[in-house]
Amino acid sequence: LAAYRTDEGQPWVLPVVKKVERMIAEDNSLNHEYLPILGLPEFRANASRIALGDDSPAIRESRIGSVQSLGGTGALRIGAEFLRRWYNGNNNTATPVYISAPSWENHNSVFVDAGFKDIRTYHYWDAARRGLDLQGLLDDMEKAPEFSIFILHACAHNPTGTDPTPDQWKQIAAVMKQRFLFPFFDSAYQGFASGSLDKDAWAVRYFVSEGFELFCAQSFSKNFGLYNERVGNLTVVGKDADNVQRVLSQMEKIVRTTWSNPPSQGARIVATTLSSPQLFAEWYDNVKTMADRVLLMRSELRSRLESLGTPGTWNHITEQIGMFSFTGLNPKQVEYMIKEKHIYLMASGRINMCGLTTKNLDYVAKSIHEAVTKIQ
Amino acid sequence: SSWWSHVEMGPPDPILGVTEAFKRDTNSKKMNLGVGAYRDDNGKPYVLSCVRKAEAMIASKKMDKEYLPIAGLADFTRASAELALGENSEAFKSGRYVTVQGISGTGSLRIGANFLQRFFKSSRDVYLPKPSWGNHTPIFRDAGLQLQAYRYYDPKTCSLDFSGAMDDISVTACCLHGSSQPAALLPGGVFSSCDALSSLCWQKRNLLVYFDMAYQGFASGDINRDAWAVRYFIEQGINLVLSQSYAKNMGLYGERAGAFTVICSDAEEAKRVESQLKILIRPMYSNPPLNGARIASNILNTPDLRKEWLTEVKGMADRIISMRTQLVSNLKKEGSSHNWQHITDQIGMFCFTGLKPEQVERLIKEFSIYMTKDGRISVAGVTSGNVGYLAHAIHQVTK
Repeated sequence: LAAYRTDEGQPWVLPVVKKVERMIAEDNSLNHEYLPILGLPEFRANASRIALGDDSPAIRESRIGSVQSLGGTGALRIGAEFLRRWYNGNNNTATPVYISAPSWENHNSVFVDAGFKDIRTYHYWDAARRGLDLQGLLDDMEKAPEFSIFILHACAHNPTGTDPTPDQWKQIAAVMKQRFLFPFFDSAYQGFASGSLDKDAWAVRYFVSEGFELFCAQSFSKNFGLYNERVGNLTVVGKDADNVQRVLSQMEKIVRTTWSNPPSQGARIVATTLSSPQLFAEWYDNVKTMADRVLLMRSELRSRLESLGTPGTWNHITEQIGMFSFTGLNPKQVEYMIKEKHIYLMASGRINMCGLTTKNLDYVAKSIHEAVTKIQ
Repeated sequence: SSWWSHVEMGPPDPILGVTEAFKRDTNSKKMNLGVGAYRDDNGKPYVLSCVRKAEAMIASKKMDKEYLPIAGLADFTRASAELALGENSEAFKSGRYVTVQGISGTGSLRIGANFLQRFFKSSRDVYLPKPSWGNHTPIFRDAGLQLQAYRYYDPKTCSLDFSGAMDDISVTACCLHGSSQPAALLPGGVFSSCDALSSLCWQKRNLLVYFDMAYQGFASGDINRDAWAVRYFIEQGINLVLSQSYAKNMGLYGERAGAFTVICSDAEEAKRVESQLKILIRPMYSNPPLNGARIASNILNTPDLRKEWLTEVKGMADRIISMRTQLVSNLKKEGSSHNWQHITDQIGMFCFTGLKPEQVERLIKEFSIYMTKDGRISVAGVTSGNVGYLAHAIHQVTK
């Protein structure tokens, strides 16, 4: 599974997390009682605020809801279960669900297990150009049956690292509005991608400003480094408070038969951090540390490849964003990397940028150079 | 217009509704007997000392936060299996079982329900005891199974309707599920003697038995006694499935520590079953939360802490048992002529008082004593300070 690594190749517990955990451990007024079904109130409010922005019109108009969930996966699953029961009629398992080609492989399973019968892909990655296939994407949206559900990566698309530009997002939103398509955002890397929470949430906030009702599954695994505490949040944006209230009441029933109520430790850490200006600033700094390291590895890898004169263009390495990069290596070249150079990539050519360190950059760059020049 | 205009308002949770009303009540004598969480004799939540020690141990080790495997923390799942099955269990020693970490009792039940929906071919029917924990029905229904019931609690005698249960179970040829523990049964805590239960349905080898064990140690104070039925069934050759929760017996409620176990024919079958369980878990929440499992694992696997835990869990069980005794004696002192023996015959956190809905309503309205309409009370909410008041109130509405 993908997790951040330091320049020494080690897991990293964020300093602010260590600090807050100590605070929690020393607070004798805390106990292990059940959280409410929908989760810790301070966590839910803060988590959604992070996604939508302090000045979000949806928050101002009290038309948002939040469900604390078991990681981003849990948030996706609760959202999917709700949609299958209540979207586009009642219990309509025939509503098409569109997932990008490629996408995180678990997306498919989440919606299948939630009961949807018609899972489709939409064009996303243009392998020839090594970029976004915007036209293919828009065509798929134009052709999709009305009311289809589209899973959108809020930022740092997994596995390609290729995101639409703001302008491209505007085009996507226009088509979705016109065709009555439902936006279900997956936001697993807010802050972690660019170092800026606002920048990484631009797409979600744009859709909100365009008046969409949407879901956003948030994960705090990467940006808080809280992988094993399973901290996630499903943000619901609706037309008004009354609709949101009814939606939440039904989501509560779904949660009750899935996990009853969510785990408290991770939510407490995040809530404590986000609600204190001082701790929030420290967290922001920690997030930027991670994002900056990945950005540095990207630019260093690209410049080495260009210095080596490795055939092909390598600007995609720095144009892509987030934890992953689609190098463009073909399966044979990937095999060479694994077998001969002991560098582990996915067959798709996807590399985890967190695995790069200042110590191994040269070796990785040289290995890619060899693979590309020796194997066609 | 909204996508959600047609979405109905979901009904409030029957148990949470009790707590909500309790919170709004300003009567200083109010009692919340709906809550399924242990309270000490001052009515306060109780964090076990062994839990605090385990937490300190964990904090000092400065461990990372890397993802757990899908099946959970191995030290935890192994210790959990051993706790349920017993260290001398042949099934445990031979490895012909798989235990995966689940999100406390609910999550473990749900994994099991989903697994049965996918792989139990004989039937879609799940038989629950009547009554059972309110959440059992929606869990199995949401997993895609059908619910049936077998007689269990006889409201006339406030105890086990053994012949009724046997009749209903004999008729079935499919999946038996229930809080079929000889010890604590939610919501009634009805105690059935181990002898009686030993002949209950073990002959029905075409039945799949699913145990829900949420109170091991908490019911009688003895972890072995509370696991007797599970172990007996396995010894009789029944390859059952089992959910465990550490919410009550370790006070880890909000940390969501639990486990789901499948007893298999052999270790090879167990491996195949495990692979399928992982396929079910991954699209639900990917992998489980660490904190509660790590605390539980530390306690179970550290001899000193385990010993301390056993003492503390007995302490909790003893306090509950003593409250039952005091409630009955106080009712006698009030001059009640009713037979309240079932209060001390039953076991575990809950008690089916036998009170009728009208009587329950009077208790709520006139005395600010809150419980669910079925007359179920959480004995954990009773203290030496309020047991007299409770007895007085019950007598007033039943005399």
